[in-house]
Amino acid sequence: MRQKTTKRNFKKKNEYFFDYSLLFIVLFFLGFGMVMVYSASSYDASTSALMNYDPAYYLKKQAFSTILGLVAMFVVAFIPYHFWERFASLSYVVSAVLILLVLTPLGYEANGARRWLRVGISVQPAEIAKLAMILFLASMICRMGKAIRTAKGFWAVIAVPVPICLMVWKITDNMSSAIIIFGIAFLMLFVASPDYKRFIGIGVTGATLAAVFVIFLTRMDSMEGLGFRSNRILAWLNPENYSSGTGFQTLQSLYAIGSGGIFGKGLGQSMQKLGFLPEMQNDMIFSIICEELGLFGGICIIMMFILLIWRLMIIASNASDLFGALLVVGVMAHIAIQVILNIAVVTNTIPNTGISLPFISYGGSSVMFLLIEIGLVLSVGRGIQLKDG
Amino acid sequence: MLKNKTGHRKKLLVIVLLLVLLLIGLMGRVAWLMLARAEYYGTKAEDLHVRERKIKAKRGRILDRNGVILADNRIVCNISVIHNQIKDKEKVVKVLTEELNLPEEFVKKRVNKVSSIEKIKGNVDKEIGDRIREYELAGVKVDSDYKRYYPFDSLCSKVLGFTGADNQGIIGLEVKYDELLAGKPGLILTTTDARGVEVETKGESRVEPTTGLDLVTSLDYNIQLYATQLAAQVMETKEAERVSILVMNPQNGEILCMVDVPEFNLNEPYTLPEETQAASQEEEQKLLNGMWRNSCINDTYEPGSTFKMITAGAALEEKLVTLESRFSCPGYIMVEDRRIRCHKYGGHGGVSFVEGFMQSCNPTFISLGLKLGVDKYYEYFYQFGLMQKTGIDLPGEAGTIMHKKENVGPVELATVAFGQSFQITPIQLAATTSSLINGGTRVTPHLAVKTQTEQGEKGKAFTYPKTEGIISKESSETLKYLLEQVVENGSGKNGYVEGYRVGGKTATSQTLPRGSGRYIASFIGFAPANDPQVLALAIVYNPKGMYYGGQVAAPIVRQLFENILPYLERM
Repeated sequence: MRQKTTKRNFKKKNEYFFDYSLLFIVLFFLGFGMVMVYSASSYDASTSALMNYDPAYYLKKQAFSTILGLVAMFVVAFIPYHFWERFASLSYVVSAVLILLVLTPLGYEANGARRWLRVGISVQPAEIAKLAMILFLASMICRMGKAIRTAKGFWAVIAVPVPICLMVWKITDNMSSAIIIFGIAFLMLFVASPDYKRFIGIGVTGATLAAVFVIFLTRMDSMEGLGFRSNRILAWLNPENYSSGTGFQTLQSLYAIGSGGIFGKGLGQSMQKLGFLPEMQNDMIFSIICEELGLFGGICIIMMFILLIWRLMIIASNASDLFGALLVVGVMAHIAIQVILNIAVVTNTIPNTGISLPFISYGGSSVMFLLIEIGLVLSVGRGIQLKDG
Repeated sequence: MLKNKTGHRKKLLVIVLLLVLLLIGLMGRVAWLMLARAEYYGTKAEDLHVRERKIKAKRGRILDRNGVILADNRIVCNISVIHNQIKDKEKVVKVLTEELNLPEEFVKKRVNKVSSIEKIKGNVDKEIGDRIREYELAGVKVDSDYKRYYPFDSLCSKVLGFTGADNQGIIGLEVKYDELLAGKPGLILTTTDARGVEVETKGESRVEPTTGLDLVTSLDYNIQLYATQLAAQVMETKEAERVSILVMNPQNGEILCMVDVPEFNLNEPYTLPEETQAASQEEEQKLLNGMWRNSCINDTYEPGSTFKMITAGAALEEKLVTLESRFSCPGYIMVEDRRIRCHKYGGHGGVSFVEGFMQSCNPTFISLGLKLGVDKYYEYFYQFGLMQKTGIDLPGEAGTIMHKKENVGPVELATVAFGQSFQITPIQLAATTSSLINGGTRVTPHLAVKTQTEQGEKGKAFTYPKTEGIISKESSETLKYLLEQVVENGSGKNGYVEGYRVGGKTATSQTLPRGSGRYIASFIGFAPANDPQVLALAIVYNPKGMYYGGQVAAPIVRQLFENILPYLERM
């Protein structure tokens, strides 16, 4: 409906289309995110010498990244997206090199993991890799043409993200980003390929393997020699038995969500943010949203994400070419996977792993690269020809 | 546009629907957590955020029968520091060091310790606490608190008992009625962050404590005070080890006074007498336990001749003897191959039962005991309630130590008949005597009468078991007559009180091992002899010099009666 009205409005003045709906949704998320980052982090920041006792410490940093990101977004939005196609292969190589650079003195460690590069500002190579993967796969699939229908083509595309995923996982010790990168590739391929069986096959195999692994773990008598990921799975099944260790964060998150009620304690009234819930402004921000704004607030945010995904689908469907469509599919996949995994983690639906909530969680790299991706989508949207035919 | 676009659109729709489905599933999950599990996780979170500080409840007081307060409460202060709230560290250390008279290092260490709250000193006088409050130092907390206080220091110490650091009863009535006296502690609930720092905007809520119930006892402050002075005086003049005086109402078992000198200061129960020095901690504890011991109920002794009235009671019940029955005493009696001597060298010669009783003649009672036989004797021993504890409402009552029936031959029976070779507690003797002279009702000796609130509202009245008919009325009458004769004309002459009819019996028992020269002199007396309203038992342990019960213990009871009988009549 909306599209039809926009069409009519724009018909006379402009041949091209700018997706204000998408822009509005993203700006809402950014604004809401900053309010929540401030709410979640201000107490902790105001009591910590590391943050100079400045309650707005996190907010300021987040606002800075957001402004940078918005500038980048508008720049990218007004560059025709085909401009980037020529850098597709290069970006794949560069992202691989950047990951390797983490091992050099340029890389630095925070929160116990070496994931960041400091080049003026600190950047997570994994975030760049996500963007690079979207660009590279979109371009590759386009060039393959009908070869995508063959088994060889299928496996070739599946193989592309594997080296990057392994590097992200093993070098930066960031399994969640590796899963996201692979997930993006998988969804892009799903849309591009007319096949169903192979995807169902891979899906069923993956699910079975995971189930077998979990059952195997629960049947084990001794926990000795288990890695921390295995422990996380046991803590997932029974967080209260691991309340002082691996299950601590999950349990604190559940306390926050469970104590929210239908309309929440009110903005700024969270108790769990007073040092009880680790990473409250980051991976766990959805718990604080639930605690302060209640079930109502939590459901509203999920609905907004559904709206965003829907909007991205519309843009992808109407993209003027396959390359543009695949770019949008990749961005959609990226956002959707992160939202789903993040909410699943904080509600203890899946084992704990560190994934941030797009646009809302605190994190400079994440928000900047997400905004660049949105810029790409807006650029694709601008390419939609409004005149029929 | 590309030709395969429709295929892509369809697949895109499929994947988006799948993603939306997953998100809707997560909405369901969130809703389940926030509705069905809300109470569970909400409570757990609340527990995590709220710190409890207990407020001590005011402990109920212990009163005597006339309302004199024997155990009271005093307001004291607890001084603590909250590290995060301290602004001027040096001043805090200086003030607390000076006011509380503590070593500076001690205070400094606690002030510098990063903890949610650190106690500096408890039980500080209210005056000092008020002075510290006036400095208005940030981070220093002065909490008012109640501490047990005993206005009469050592009076009744072994009966009342004392309380520990948490106001819990340790010995005596304080521990026996701890639950009633303790009340219910209140709570201060403070909302804190993860480090335990108070969240000021959340405020704190209080659950007020409930004051414990006052306990009204049967004790009489005046009698207790007089008896204590009397006992202390005797202990000094006779250089005795201990002196116990027990006064009770033989009709209902109410204890009017229970003295066991040396007593100890209830306000400083952990201070040993000056002359004692403990070598080790273990020994100190042993000495303290000894100091707190109430020999009226915690220790047993050989009752000696006072026990002859039990033998007489059994014989009267069995109609084995009348007042006119004749006995002969050549100064000893042969039991099997053993020659058991009478206390009177040369013997009492031929005596009637009354005369034998009056003179406390051993052969007379040995003959009676042997006549009764082991089976009958044991039957009465049980019937009179001697084998079970009296049931007094004080902790740690000792049981009777008696021969096993199958080991008792004529020699053992003969010694039991005049009160030797077995042990009972003084309270047991008093309770049994009471039932023999009150017409045959076994009463439970007790202290607690009723509870009431601080404002004097009535609480519950205590009731105690009574067993009627343990001896017939006639036998009881006869016994009273015999016991009055003892005081009028016999060995208990020193128990005679001008103007009152007093009955009683003396005893002089040698402590084990025999021949150690250590004796226990005792006298049990009651008045009026025809209708006993008050019964007194005085026991002097290991007196120097004269050690006969008639010489040492009977005068105590006489002096006591001379003073308390007119007093009790006035009541």
